[in-house]
Amino acid sequence: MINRILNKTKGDRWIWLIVILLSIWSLLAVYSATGTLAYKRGVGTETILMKHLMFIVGGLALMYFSHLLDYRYYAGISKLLMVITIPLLLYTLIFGANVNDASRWVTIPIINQTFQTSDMAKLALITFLARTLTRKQENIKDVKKAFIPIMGSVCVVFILIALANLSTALMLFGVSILLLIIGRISIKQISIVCLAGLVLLAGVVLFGPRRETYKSRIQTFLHPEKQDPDKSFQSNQSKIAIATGGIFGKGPGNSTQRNFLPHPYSDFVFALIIEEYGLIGGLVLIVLYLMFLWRCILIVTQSPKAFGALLAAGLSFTLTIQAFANMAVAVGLGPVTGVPLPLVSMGGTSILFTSIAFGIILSVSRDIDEKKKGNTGDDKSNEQKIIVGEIPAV
Amino acid sequence: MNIRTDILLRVYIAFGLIVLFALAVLIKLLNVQFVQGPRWKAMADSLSTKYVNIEAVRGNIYSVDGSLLATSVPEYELRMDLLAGGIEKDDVFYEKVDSLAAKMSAYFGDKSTAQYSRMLRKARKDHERYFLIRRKVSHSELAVIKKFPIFNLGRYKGGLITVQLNKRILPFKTLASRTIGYKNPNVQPVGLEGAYSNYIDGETGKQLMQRIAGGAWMPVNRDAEIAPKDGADIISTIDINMQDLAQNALRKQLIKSDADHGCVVLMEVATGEIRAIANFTKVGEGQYEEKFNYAIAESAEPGSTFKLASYLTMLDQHKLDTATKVDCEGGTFRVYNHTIRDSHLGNQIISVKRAFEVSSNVAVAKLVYQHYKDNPQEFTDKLYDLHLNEKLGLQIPGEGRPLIKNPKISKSWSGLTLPQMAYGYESKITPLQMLTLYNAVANNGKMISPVFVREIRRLGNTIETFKARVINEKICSDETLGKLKGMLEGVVLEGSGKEVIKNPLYSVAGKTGTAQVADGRAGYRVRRYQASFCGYFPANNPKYSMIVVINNPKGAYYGALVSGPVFREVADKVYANDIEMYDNVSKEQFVGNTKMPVSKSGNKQATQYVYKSFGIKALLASNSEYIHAIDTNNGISFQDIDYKEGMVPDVTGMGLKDALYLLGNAGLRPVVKGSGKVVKQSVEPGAKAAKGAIVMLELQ
Repeated sequence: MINRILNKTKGDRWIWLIVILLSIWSLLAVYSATGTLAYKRGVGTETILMKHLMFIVGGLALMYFSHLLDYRYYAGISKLLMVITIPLLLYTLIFGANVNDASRWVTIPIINQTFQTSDMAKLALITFLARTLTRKQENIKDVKKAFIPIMGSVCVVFILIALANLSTALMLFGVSILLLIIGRISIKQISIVCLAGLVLLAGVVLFGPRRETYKSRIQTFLHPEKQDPDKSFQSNQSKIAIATGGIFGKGPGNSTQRNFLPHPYSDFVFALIIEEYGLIGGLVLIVLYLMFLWRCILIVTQSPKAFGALLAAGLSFTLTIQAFANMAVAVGLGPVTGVPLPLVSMGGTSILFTSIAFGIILSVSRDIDEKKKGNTGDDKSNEQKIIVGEIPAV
Repeated sequence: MNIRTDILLRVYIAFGLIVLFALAVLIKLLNVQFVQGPRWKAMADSLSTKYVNIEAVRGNIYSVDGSLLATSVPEYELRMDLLAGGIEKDDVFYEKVDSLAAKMSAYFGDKSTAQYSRMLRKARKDHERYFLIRRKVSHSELAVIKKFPIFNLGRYKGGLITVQLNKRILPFKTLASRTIGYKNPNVQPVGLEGAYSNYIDGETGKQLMQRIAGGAWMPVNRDAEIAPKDGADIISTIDINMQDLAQNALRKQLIKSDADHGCVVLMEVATGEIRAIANFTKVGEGQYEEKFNYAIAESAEPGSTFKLASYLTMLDQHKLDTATKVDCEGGTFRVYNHTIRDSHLGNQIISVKRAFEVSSNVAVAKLVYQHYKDNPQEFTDKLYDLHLNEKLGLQIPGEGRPLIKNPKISKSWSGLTLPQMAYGYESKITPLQMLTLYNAVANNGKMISPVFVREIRRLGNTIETFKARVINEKICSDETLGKLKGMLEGVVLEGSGKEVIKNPLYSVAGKTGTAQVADGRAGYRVRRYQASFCGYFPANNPKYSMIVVINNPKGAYYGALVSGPVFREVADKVYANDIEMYDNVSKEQFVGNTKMPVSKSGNKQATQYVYKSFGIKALLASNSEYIHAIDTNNGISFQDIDYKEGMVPDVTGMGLKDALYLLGNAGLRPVVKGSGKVVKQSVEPGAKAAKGAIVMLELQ
């Protein structure tokens, strides 16, 4: 059985290795970090750990199945996902569970599991963009045919998420724009929209339902010295964790800052990792994500089809940007936002969507490997032929 | 450029940007670790660990007989975390807040339910996490409060925070409370608590504490970094029974004569140890409280009790003898335009001893004036030799400064000073200083300073003992002493103390004093008196000396009539309780009696101890804890009392203490009639009885 799964497991081995490493690390960090949470909820730390383990295993299963699926199916799925996502985002905004003044969560009725719709929207939008960009390559510089539908979908999703969760929306928007640039949409046109978007953003920040939260967080980030100690508490605690970790760290499970850090198991898990595993641990983690991105870029370069390339690029950039954004918050490079560290943070359903994203990238990789095997000998010409065939030169 | 390379180029650039982003994160990380590191580390220490003082347990103060005079008990301050885990949700809090308020209102009784409810709701709205509920809550009260709604959710969920503070209590309440004293923050410490605070306080310890989950603090190490050193115990010289006698007698007399204030001091002659010291101030009609330690602090004109010093001086300097005649001139003596009067007029030519006994002011003033008017220094030198001008150097603070004038240094010295001093005016002395002089006479001339603390013990080991300081090894010749003692006894046998002090069983020696007290502005015109009696007993072999001073009595004001009864009451009861003073009781009454003492059944060890003390050989081979004693010709033999679970034990012949203990342990309910030892028990020994069954005991 295991052999059969292993035999069937295809795709980039390095990426699989990174996924496994991150998952194990996640278990260690979450186990150490959830003491306070367990205490508050009145349950054992192991209960929380088991739940997290279930999600990781579930995520791995999803990753396995989604990598077996031919990635071309995702083009169709993405369209379907978009159709589901937009009404779901609207629903979340209006009826979602209100946590800290932000409606981000909906509950799936039967299994009674909450999930963050923006996670699903992220996946939907990126795959959808990869599909649309590929399709419109011929008329990519045409405003009416390419730009408006593509940019329109980006903006709609952005606004719907931004009202509840600006940081996630901004990041998704950034990755989308990056993907559009990679997909050769006119930079001039993008800039115009971005300018308009900036105005819109200012509107959300100044008049949105969470304006007070934004104001105080940005104020805290810009002028830490002016803030009363309670407000800069989170970022200070994070810095204390990092500073006391030193080069080699305090050792797994020896964090003291986990008692003061807010969400040491998700938003500030990087601080906890440095505290326990030291600078070395942090460096290894950074390298793991960069290596993942590099492997993905190799997939992009080898992908015979533009859809596969854009899919891999979009998803891998989303994941790595999210990872570094999380780290940036922990080290104090950016204002405090609630971005989880992909695959490491405890986050229930967010792990599942992240896993699917990995699965899709691996699916592209698997496809490349299989194509390579089928065409050994005349590798180079074949590759070029397909490219030319698929995306005609302008 | 074809599309492929165009796309790939863009991807590489994006990758480069991400690498730059990662580098930025890394650089910032290094910055936080190494450049800002020390600052954050320092903050970490201050946030997650701190030193907490551990209060040392204050030492106890014991009476000389081992009773607790002052000890510390825990007392709590109650606070509330309105955002505690269990009441975080609004519906939970608001559902129960009114029933909590109702309980608090009913239990504390100081505010209405509505007021408490409003208070709690406001605190909730203000997000109070350390809200003061109540101070000074005892341990038993706390147990009740913990059962209130919300609080009963438990320590963390209910939000009740208890802060333990130690409260000082005096188990005997007002008994010698002023002498035991107190030491509170921001208040001048008083009494033994204040004087020996260095010993009693102990040393505060330090413990390194760490913040743990939920914000609670717990010790980093199991043992304290600096262990607190518990305070030492003070063994005072106060005898709780004598103190009780003194206070009751004094209070009774103060109420009777409606006096302003008064004090009694009882001192052991040989050791100078203060056995009782009572002080009462009138605080309302018929109400007196210990508010001020008059005995050690109130330096006032002593009046006639001072005549002892005058006669001591004259006798010791051979100016006169007890039989020397003096003309009292009918009770008035005019000197420097001032008339000195006797309180009872009509004294003519009488002996010195008689003059002392009837407390003639004229006689002593005239004699002192006659003998020292040319050289007053000779008189005052002797008084200074008695150290009457000096403080005693007591173990507790607040001693009053005495005033004995001296022609050389006193600016206010006049011709009248000498005769006035002779009978206790133009001088000031505290009751305790006066007592010290009388005690010296009783102690065969050895003058010693009074002692309040016998020893200091730490963990049961004596670390310091105190002996009375010898002020003057011999205040006068033995010949003078003998004469003085005779005169002091005469006061009680024949003189001003005759009616009140006399007791057929033992003899008292002492002197009355009735001083007119100068009242602030009014001077001596408003008649206020200080009635005193100072003396010692038994006169032939003094064991205790005592002074009673009562200030501004209404009605009768003579020392003998006001202070005398207090002296007598205390002396009688002290005498009654002290077998050592029964010098006329023959030893045969105890020893050599052929009849065995009636023995009770009871606890083996206790019974054996009693027999051993009487020197009676006990025949004993027993493992049982309780025994019957049986008289035999050979001594006392003992019979084991065995009883099994569920059986009624045999308690006949036992004292009530043992009987109740045994029956109680057997789960029975004894009902007692009579007193003495158990002669009959309603349920036969060895019978089976249900738990809680009633057993009637008849005692005789």
